[in-house]
Amino acid sequence: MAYDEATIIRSCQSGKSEDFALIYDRYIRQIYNFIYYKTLHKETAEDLTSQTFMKALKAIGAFKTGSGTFSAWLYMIARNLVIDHYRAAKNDANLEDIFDLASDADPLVDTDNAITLEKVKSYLVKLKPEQRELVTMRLWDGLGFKEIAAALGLTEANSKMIFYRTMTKMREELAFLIFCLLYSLISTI
Amino acid sequence: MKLNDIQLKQILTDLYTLDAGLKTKEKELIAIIEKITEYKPQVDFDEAFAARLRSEVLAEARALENKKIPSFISNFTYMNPVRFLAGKLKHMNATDLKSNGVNKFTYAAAGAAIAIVIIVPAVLLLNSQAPLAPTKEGTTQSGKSARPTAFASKINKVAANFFGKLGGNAATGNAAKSAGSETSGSGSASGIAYGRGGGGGGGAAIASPQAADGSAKLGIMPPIELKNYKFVYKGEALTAPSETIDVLKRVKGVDLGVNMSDLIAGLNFGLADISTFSGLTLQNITLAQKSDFGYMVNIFPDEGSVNISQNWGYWPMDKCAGDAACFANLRVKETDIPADSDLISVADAFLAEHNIDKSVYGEPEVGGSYDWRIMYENSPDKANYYFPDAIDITYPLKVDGKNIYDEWNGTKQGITVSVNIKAKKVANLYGLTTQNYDASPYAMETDVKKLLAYAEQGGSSGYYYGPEAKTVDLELGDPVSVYIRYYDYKTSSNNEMLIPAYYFPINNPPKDPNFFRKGIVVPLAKDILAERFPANGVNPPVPMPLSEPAGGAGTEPAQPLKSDTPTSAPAQ
Repeated sequence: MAYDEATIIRSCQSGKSEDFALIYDRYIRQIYNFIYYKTLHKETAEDLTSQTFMKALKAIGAFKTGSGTFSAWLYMIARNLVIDHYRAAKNDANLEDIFDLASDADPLVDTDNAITLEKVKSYLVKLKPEQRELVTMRLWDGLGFKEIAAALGLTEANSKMIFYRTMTKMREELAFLIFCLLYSLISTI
Repeated sequence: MKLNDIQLKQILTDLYTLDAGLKTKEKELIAIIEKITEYKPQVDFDEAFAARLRSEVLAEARALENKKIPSFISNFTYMNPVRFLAGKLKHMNATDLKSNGVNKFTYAAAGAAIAIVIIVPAVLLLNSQAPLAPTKEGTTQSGKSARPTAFASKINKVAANFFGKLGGNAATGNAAKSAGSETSGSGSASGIAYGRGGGGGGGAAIASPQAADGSAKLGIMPPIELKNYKFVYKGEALTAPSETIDVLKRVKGVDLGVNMSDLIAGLNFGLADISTFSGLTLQNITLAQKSDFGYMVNIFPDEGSVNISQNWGYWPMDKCAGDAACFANLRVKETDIPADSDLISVADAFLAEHNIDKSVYGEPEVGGSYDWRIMYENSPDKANYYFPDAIDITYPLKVDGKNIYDEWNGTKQGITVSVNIKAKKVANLYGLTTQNYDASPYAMETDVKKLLAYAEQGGSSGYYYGPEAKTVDLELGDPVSVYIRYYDYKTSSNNEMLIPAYYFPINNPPKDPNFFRKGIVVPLAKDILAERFPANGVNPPVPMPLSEPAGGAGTEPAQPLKSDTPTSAPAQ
C-alpha cells in the first residue's frame, strides 16, 4: 500500500496506533534480514524481529521526525537488540564486534549459512568490525549512508569516508594479492 | 545475489565522489563489491511468521490506543487498576495457557489479548484519579444523550420523558423475580421462607412464580405471633414534590474499542478456532488470586461493575465432614462478632488497600438488608440463634446528595462489603459500579393524599395475615427525598434507573424477628406510582397463605384480596 511515511508516523504518534501496521508491512522483511545477517539463526532472528517492532510501537511517540529517518531509528532498535541478545548470551563478548558474534562454530547458526559465514569472514577478516558492519549494511541491506550513519551513531560524511577507506583497502589488498600471485607465477617460470 | 546496475552504479558514484581517482580502478572495485554480495547469506523468510507477528503488533497497537482513553475519564472512577492488579493481585491467572500445541507466538498473542482483556477494561472501569460526586451538567441542545466516552462521571441532562414510559415490568413477570432476589438473603439467613419480596411487585406481580409453584414453602411459617402492621404518618404536613423531577438512568457499559475477532485472530488454543466467531464482545472477566485468602475479581464491562469475592479454595475450610458436634463447636458465637467499629475498620482498610474511593458514599453502616442484631434481639429462641459467618457493611451511595434505596425492603444501596468473622477479613465486595447517568424530567405525583395513603399502607410490599392476626401501629416520620433503584426489564437492555422517591422512616420499629424495614419508600414518578397504587387509591396487600391449600401445593397462585376490601389493614 502506498503511503506517506511521515503521515503514518504522525498518525501513530497522535494515538492511532493501528496505523503502525502499515509501517510493519513496509519494514518487516528488511528488519528481519538485517537481524538474520547478524545472527544467522531463524528463531533468534524472528524473536528479535518481534521485539524490534513491539519496542518501536511502544516508543514511536518518542521518535522525532526532524532528527533522522524512521528506518534508521528502526534499524538502531534492531541493532541494539542484537547487541543485547549477545550480551546476554556471551558475557565476555566484544560488543563492538557484532559481526564476529555469529560464529560458524555456533550451534545456533543455520547449517546452510555456516559455510557462507566462513567465506565471508575469510574475505573480510582484515577489516575492522566497524568497517565490516558498515559494508554489509551498505551492500547486503542496501541502506543509504544517511540511514547507516543514524543507526551506527555516525555522521553521514563519516560513514561515507569509512566505506571509501574500506573499499580502497580491500582493493589495495586485492591488488597486492594479485601482485603476489603473478610474482610467484613468474618466479616459477 | 548480485546487485542490479543501478545499485552498483550508486555505490561506485559514492566512492568516486570521495576519490575520483578510483574510477581507474573500477573493475577491481566491482569485483570486490560483487564478491561481498555473493557471500550475502540466504534468507528463508517465513511468511507465516510475518502474519503472526502482524496480528500481535496490531493487537498491541489496539491495546495502546485503549490505554490512552483514560485521559477523558479523569473525574469519577473508583480504583487504580494498575496498582490493584499488579500489586495485591499479583498471583492472579486469567487463564492457563500452557496447553499442548500452543507455540510461542500463540503465547505472545494470548499475552497481548490478555493485556487488552485485563488492562483496558480495568483501566476504563477502575482508574482513579480525582473522584467526584456526580453532579448535573452536560445538557444537550437536541435533548439526545451526549454519552460520554467510557465512564466519565456525569449526570447528563436529556429531553423530558427520554426513557419512554416508566414501569411496565409487571407485564413481563420480572418484577416479582427482581424483588424476590433482593430479599432472598434475609429469608435464607433466618431459615424462614418469607417470600415477602416475591409478592411485593404490585398488582400483576402478586401472582408470582413462588406463589404459583411454591405454596408449600410459603405455608411453612415460623411458630411466632403473626402481626399485621398499620403505618400511621406522624410527621409535619406533607409537601408535594415538584411537578417534574429528573429520573436518572445509569449509563452502564462502554465501548472498549476492542474488536475481539481481530484481537484473537490467529489465536487457537487447540480446542477451537475462536477467531471463527464474528462479532465477539467482552462481557465478563474473571481473575483469580491463587494464594492464601485469595480473591476472585469479576469485571463486567457491559454492566460497568466489579465484584470481588472469596476464592474459596484458598480460604480456610472447616473439616467437620458431617460431624454435628464439630460444626456446633465451630459455630460463630455472639462474643466472636467484633464491634461495629472494628468491622468498619476491616472494610475501610480493604477499600484503602485496593484504592476503592469512598468519597461518593456516605458513612458505612453495619447490617444492610439483614441486620443480625435486630434479628437476634427479636429472636424468640436466642439459644439456638445462628450467628452469621460474615456481616455486611454498606457504604451508601449518594447521587446528587441523595441516598439510594431499595424499593422493596427499604435498605440503602451502595457498596456492600462482607467481613468474614473468623478470618476478620473482607470476604466479598459487590455493588461497585460506574456512576454515569442520563437525566430526564418526568412527571411526579403531586397529590400528597395519594402519597401518604401509599406510605401508610406500607408501600409496595405489605403483607396481610388475615383478620385473626394482631394489628400493630407503626409511626412514620417526616419523609426525606431519595431515589429508589428501579430495574426496567421491558427490553433486553435491563436498564437501571433511579426514581425520585420519599423515604418515610419508621419511628418505632417493632420487636419482630420477621421485620427488617427501617422505613417506607414511596416512588414519586407518576408512571411508577400508578402501577404500584391503582387509581381507586387502594393497593391490595399480599395475603400470606398460612396452611397448605386444599388442592395441594403449587396448584394455584396466591390470590390477592379484592381491591375494594375496605378492612384490609396493610401489613408487613
